[in-house]
Amino acid sequence: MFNPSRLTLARQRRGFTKTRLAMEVDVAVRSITAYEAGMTVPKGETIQRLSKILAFPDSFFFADDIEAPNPEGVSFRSLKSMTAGKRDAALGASALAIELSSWIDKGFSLPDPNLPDLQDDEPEAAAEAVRADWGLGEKPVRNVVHLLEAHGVRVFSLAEECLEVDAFSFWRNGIPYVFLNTKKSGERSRLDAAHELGHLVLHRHDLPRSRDIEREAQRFAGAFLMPRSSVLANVSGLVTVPKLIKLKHIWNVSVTALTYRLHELNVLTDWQYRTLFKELSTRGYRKSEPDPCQRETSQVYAKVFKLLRQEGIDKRSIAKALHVTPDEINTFMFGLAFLSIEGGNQSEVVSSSAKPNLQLVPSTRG
Amino acid sequence: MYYNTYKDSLANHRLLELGLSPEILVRAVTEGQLAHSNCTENDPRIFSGLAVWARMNRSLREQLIPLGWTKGEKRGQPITLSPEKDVAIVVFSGDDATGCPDRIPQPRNPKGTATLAAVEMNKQQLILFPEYRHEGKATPDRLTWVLLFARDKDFVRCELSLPSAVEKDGTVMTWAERIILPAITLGDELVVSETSDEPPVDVEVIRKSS
Repeated sequence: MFNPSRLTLARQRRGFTKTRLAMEVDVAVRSITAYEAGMTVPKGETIQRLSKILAFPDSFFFADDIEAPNPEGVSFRSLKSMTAGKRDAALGASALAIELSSWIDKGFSLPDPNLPDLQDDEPEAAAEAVRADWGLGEKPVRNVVHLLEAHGVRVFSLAEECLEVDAFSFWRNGIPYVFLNTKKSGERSRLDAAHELGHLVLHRHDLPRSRDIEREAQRFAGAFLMPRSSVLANVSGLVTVPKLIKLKHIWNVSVTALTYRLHELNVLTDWQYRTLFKELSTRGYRKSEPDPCQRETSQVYAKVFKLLRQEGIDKRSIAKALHVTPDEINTFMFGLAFLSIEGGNQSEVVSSSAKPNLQLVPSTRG
Repeated sequence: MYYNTYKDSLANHRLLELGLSPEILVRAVTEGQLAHSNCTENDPRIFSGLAVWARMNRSLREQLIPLGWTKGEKRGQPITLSPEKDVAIVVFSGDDATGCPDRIPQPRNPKGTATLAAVEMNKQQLILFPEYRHEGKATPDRLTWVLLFARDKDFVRCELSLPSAVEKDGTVMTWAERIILPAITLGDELVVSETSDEPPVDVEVIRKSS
């Protein structure tokens, strides 16, 4: 039976308004409204057009109910500057990711969620508490995504359509979910992941509006990635931009995040902070990270795909089970995908977002 | 040669009499070093020295003009002048004795006519108004002080000093007073290992038996 909730989700996932979808499918806007309300069922031919335009297989529209997370419970960084369409596209994507996650849970046992509930803590104290809880001491975090996964957080990458969104997170049925924009620098993405961890431990429950939860999460992230004692032990003498670029590798953070943290810890005076920030802007480091680190990806999906591959289950069969296209799956999986070679068994899990190999080509100019 | 050297709290006190503070002067020196850190191997060799000197002058002015000081330039020499016009500050790079109370520093480069004239005026004032030295009174005319700084591997040392004489060739200076400022630690010998020594996190993923 045609499932109206799935049409709404598919439309939102692609960032289409009802008007645009009506135009593309060549039906009246009120027909789309009626399909989504479950008042009329689209004809077979219309479903085929919907399926083509929205890039979902026909079967997608006939599967079980699917519901996007409630925007109220989701922490978006810049909700004010975000259109409802962008927000719904991100939420739609996350609904599909939850389906994928549930599918994986059926076949695999993953670490149970293990996040302390710290809603009454100051951000800095909460960051210390999580570090203590997870036995991290004062050490730098080597890989934030792996660390989150090891403590039961399901981490996904954001789809192309949602690039205005930095990152977001939410709890659902006792499971914490984090979505990361992987087009940002590796350092930025690490900070985003730590920021979302801040939301998950600090803002799990409804909170009074007066609390500035974005600021709290940001402070949590800085303190989590750059613990006070570790910073004070490593930073001495005059802080210059070249020194910041060296120091940032200790914690794998952006130069701007480090500068901000040094000011927060009073290692930098106000004027030093302003002067350094101005120089970072002049050098373009606020837009493009100097000496960037590698982007993090999921360990869970790499392992899951590898195990599935060994059993001869490929991306196409997973996609079929979830009633989506194989490409759809890839968007949530940090570009981790099977390198499907027809008729061959040489496949390995690779990242399709790996850097291209650059070669020097002799100039043809004389 | 007799002269007064001020350190620590005495230095702070003496600076206060001149309408200054160690924070202001140390900040000027620090800003100069930040300008230095922004220079690259590709900049002409003389540039970093110029950048430091220019930035220190700018910093002095940015901090002092709001307090009533003014800026001036005489024969190509930038000065920062106190509200009463009795204290002028110029910026020189010094040799390795700079900031060391038990050694006598010298400017690193020979000075020109503007400096010779200013120091000659210092000399006349100090002879005509000997009570200045003993009672810390202001002289009727301007005394030109030198903010000397010198960078070695680990520190930038600095002082604010009053020259009372200079050789005709602009090389050797004699000091009437020296106010030693706190040294700035550079700590550039930072070694950051790119590989973390912690073991990587292993996320347990177990296939359920179907």
